Amino acid sequence: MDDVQRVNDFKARIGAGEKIESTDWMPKEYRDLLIKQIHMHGISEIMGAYPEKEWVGKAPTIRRKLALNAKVQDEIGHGQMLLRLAEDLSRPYGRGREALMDDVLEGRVKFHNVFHLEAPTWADAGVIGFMVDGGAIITQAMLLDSSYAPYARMLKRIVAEESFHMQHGESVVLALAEGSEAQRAMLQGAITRWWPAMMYFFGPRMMGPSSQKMMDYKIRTMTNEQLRQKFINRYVPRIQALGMAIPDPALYQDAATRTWHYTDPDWEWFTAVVHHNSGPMSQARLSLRREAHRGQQWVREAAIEAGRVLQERGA
Amino acid sequence: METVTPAHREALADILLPIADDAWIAGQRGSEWLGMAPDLEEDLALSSISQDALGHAQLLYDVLAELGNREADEQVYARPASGWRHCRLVQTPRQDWADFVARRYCYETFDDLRLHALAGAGHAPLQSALAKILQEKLYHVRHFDTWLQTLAWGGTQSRARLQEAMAGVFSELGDLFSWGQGASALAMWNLTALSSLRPLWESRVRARLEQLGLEWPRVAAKKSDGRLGEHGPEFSDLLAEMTSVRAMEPAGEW
Repeated sequence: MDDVQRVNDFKARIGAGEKIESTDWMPKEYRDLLIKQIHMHGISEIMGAYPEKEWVGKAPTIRRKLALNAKVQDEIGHGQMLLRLAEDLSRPYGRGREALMDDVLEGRVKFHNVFHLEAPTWADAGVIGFMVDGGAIITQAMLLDSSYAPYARMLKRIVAEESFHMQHGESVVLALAEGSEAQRAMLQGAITRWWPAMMYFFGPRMMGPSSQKMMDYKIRTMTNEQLRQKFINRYVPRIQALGMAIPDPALYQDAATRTWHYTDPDWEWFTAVVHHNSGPMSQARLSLRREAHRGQQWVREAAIEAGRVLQERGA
Repeated sequence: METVTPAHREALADILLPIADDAWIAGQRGSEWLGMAPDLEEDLALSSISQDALGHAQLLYDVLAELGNREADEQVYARPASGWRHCRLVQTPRQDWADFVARRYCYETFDDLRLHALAGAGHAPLQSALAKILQEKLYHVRHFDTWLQTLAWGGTQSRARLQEAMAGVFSELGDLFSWGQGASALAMWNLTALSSLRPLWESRVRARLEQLGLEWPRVAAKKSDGRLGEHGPEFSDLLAEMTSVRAMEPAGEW
């Protein structure tokens, strides 16, 4: 029913830099792109809790344990806020929290490549904060300018918290870098593991059609390659300052163009991991999510029933 | 207490250690629910409660350090299993939600009574720690009491699960009420009220279960006493995992 005139008026609003509110009319294409983006973002936050959650129980000091627990809680909190936004947008489709959560278990929504991978050491828990949250800040800072105002507003809080996470990760990583040979080796191992995943994190050099459309609608405002360049530019000196090596012999910055040249990650492998949940930890993490969501469906049903009973009693 | 003798300090440490260790282990086990709670909202609430519990333990370990124990991190990471004084109730690994609710309802209710009774101890650092702890404890008690009610009124299946879980939890209650070596220390600090908390706990819990139409399960006699450092292989495993990263460089910076 989206008549051409209405869609054109909408695009003109966006072109003029206006922001869209949830109560505004929007084309189906715009709504669907937002749902795709925000749903994936929310689910990635939730799936991102698992690799770090493993390390809460083993954190090496009281302070680290409290900080990591709080960080994982923040990620779940971001997931909760973002899913509420996705639920709101999905209302015309009659889809709520249960359906959006079922989607990840049934492979209908993807989550970030990094959360399919192993985090086998304490250094990985630090590097996730340092590099993955640091990468997320770069992506999300661009989204602060998103044409969808509720998303942009929510991202203000999320980005602020992600920068705490980055500082937490940096603090963990710094302690290891200044530590014993074993601690430094553990840190180098984690950086080596996560670097190619971070090269993939920002997406292919040539953006797919839906990313391109998100640019047209100003849901996002930078290309994958611009984001990746920003990341490399920021992290090369940071990693070097730690006295750690970047595992890419082909990495160099063109003196004239300031562009970074880098070894391509295994695009095919990572893409298959994300599309088919075939990464080393994809199924294990999905099974934790399944245990929480499906395994405890009875609790959510009990809560609804108890609410009904208590209301009947006038309690 | 105007002059605190070394014997007094040692006695107070014997009294506080079980309370601190209960809180730490409850926080450690509670953290196992990260990402696993029945919904995202509960995940957030429970994570706050776990952080509070770990924080309460830390406050008490700091009081203990001031009484002559080692610093808080050392108490957590460098103590052998036999040196821990927590009870069985908080040690059992994560099972299902009904078990967790029953377990934590029992623990939080007891800990609340215990902390209030401790408010009679004339030791300023302890009192300032307690002021903060009790403020948060109120919400922990309320949280698990609300869940107890929810599962009790949550339909036939939910009620049956809760009733069964409660029976299981009651079979592990034995050493919750024990004071181990701290029993004689209580008199020294005029805290004998702490040794008679069991009837108070029983009457509070019994009244609540009755109100919710739940049966009062049999409380099993204690098979081993966590307050004397008897925790079994389950705790050795937990301790090994908890200290595994730090064990790489026990004296290093992390």
